Amino acid sequence: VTLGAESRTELEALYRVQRDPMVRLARLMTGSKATAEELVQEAFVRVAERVVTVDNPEGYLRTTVVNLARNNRRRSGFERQLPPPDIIHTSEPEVDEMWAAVCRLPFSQRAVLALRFYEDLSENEIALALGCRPGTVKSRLHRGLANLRKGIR
Amino acid sequence: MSRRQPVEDLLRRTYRVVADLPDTAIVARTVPDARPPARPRHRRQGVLVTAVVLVAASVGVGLVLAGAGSAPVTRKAAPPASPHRKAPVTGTTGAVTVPNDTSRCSPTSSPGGPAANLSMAGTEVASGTIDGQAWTLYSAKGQTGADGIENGGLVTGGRAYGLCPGYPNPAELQLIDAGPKGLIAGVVGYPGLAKVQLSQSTVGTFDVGSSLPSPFVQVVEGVSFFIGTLPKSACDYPALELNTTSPGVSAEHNLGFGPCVPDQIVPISQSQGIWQLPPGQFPANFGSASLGAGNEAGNTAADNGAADQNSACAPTTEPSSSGAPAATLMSTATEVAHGTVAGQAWTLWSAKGQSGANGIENGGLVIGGRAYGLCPGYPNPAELQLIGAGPNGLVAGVVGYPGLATVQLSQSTVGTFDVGTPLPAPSVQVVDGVSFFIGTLPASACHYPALELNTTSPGDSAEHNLGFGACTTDQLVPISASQGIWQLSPGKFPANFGGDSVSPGSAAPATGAGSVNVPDDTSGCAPTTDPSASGAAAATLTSTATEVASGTVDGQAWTLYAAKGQSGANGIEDGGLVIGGRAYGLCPGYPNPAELQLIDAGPDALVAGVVGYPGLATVQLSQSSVGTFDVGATLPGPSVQVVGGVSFFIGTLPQSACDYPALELNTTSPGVSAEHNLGFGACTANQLVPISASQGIWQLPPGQFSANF
Repeated sequence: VTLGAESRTELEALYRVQRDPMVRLARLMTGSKATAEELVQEAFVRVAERVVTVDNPEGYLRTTVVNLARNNRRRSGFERQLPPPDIIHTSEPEVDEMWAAVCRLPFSQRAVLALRFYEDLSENEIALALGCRPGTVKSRLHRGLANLRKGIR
Repeated sequence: MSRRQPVEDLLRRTYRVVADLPDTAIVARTVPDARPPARPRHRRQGVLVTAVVLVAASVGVGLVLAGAGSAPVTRKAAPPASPHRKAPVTGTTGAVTVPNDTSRCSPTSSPGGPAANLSMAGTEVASGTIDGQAWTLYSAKGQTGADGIENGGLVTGGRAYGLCPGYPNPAELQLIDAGPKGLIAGVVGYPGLAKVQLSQSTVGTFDVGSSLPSPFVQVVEGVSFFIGTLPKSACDYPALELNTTSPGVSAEHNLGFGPCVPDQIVPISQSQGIWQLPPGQFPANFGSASLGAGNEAGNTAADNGAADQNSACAPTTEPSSSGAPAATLMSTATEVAHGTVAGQAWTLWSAKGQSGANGIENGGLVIGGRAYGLCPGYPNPAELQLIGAGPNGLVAGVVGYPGLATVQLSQSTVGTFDVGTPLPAPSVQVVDGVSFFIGTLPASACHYPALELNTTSPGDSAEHNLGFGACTTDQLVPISASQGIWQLSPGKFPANFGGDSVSPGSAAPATGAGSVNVPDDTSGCAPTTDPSASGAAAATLTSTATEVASGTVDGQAWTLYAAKGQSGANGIEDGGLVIGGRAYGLCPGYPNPAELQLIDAGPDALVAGVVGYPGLATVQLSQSSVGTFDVGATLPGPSVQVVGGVSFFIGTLPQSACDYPALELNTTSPGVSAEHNLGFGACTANQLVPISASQGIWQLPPGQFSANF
């Protein structure tokens, strides 16, 4: 598949603006910077052909990143080969502790928490990105936060 | 850990830290079994992958693979539960100890490592030489401002050094044992160009001892970066006093240093600081100064504000003195771009210590060994100079809106916005965040009595018509007439200046200050400032914008939002204000330097607005008469704070919004004032009061407000 000039320009602009934010988001959902970079690379590949046809390339890209992150976790026999979550080391012990707790959460909770508290998306927007009902988002947020409270005791 | 902060807050902070965490902070990966971690195998679509990799390469973004450049770091003892990064970001006075915080910065202050990691993970934002040695400053990718620089770092002598601790501590300094002369470098996080004074001192005091050479200072990413050398080795300075004065505000720091190691940052053994000080007032004794809470004396304007028309441009755009040898320009400016046009090499220069459109417009263009100015300038969004450079006229200019612009040129008639025969589009590139264009015309510069310049930047178009006088070889062709309209919807260029179709924006002479009516522009703003649709539920706004500030006014919480993906005044004006669960727009906007919305929010009216000039503004409100600039009964000054580099203000009035048929809004930002008069129509509860009339003058000398329009 060869990209036309318009697609290439659009893709380039999208890449400039969104690549790093998407890596950061993917990192927060997957726990691994290495995985995040791979996923975002894959997401741009998938978005490339549609970049001039979708109404909201940024939103489309984000949804693609979220879906790829989720699908990676679902790949049977594959998950254990993925780079595991990063153990980080800052000079803020509470941050290190919280990150460790985040990494222990199931992906479904980790994803909604990242979209809510990092991306500042509303529950409706998260539901749209994850393809689930707002009520599901609400309950995952609730459970995720409850698990974090337990996890950092 | 502290249990006082809600888990949500800690989670947000954790996300912010982790999202930007450098590889060097990853100490290990939890390997679940003995097998080495394999990489996901999803690079199946080879052709497309190649396309994306090419895009990545073309935009200068390297794909950093897992583990590349990662180096385990030695765990250090965590600093004591500290108040670090609790600086008074909203304007309260900071009189606190500033601990040595190396936590979030990359590279950390385990310093002097190879530069490769930093140069891969950061974007070069400035460079120069100091004491004969080249240095390069990097900002962390995806970050801007002081944060970006502090999470980036400095490379000199092939070694990378961090610049922490950082923002919002207003100023910081690192001392590097770089040989016989100690090297110092740091960031002053306040907006604008700072004056940096260094002296020897005693640890734990604010004593000013022997003066040390002032470092070189320049504005990078909107804040000040400084670098310099000391007369002696870094080992000879047990303590330094760092006094900085940014536009409107000073900060004072005292730093003690531990043992030095060649090519490494000297450890900071102790530090303390006071900031939000009135300009130039540095208390000699920590804690002894009168530092009342809410001290906002930093409002005093400094003299390095926005560029004024023609006055500050060098080389001048006065045609008769244009085309002079380039040496002077090159000695006072920094090359920021280069290329060729019609087979001739050109270089673009930005005035030292300045950035963005201002820097370029106060710098200039060198072509054929001759220097040409690019004024008049910012905040006129676009400008063009025509140069009599031979058989083909040369055009060059700047589009001051952020991002890459499309630039269309055509022949025209003076005093109109007629689009005549199209001319070849010039080459356009982003330089310092704005667009610079350069190109040739099919005929000599003498053949074009008028040109139409239509530009479209991301989100905004601008339209200019310029008339030209007699041409002289190798000089700028004098601009005999000009007019412009801007803040236009993308791609919409009215055909008639002042006609009915000119709905939005500021119609002003392109070469002068705007002294024209300011229409009620609802075109590009969201939520709309159409009063009847204002005061709607906040959900739409909060889902499309990012919270950038919050507070309370008259006991009610408010939140300010910037449109996602936008920054500065534009972001705020395309975002909006939420108060009492209702969203209100803040249009019309930039480049009208100041604006105000009046909200019928109960017994006491609410006013809010933006002053688009950089830095902290003073905002004066008074009653007035519609269509004048009369200053009537003084009204309470609203609360003002810097948000996104510009000033946002909010306050209440003594009476209901229905009681104010007109308001006078006088603002003074660092270096420049603006004056607006606004008339208001009928009020409706919980809605914006419609603006029935408005007019403004700007680019005024600080504090000089005309009584008569």
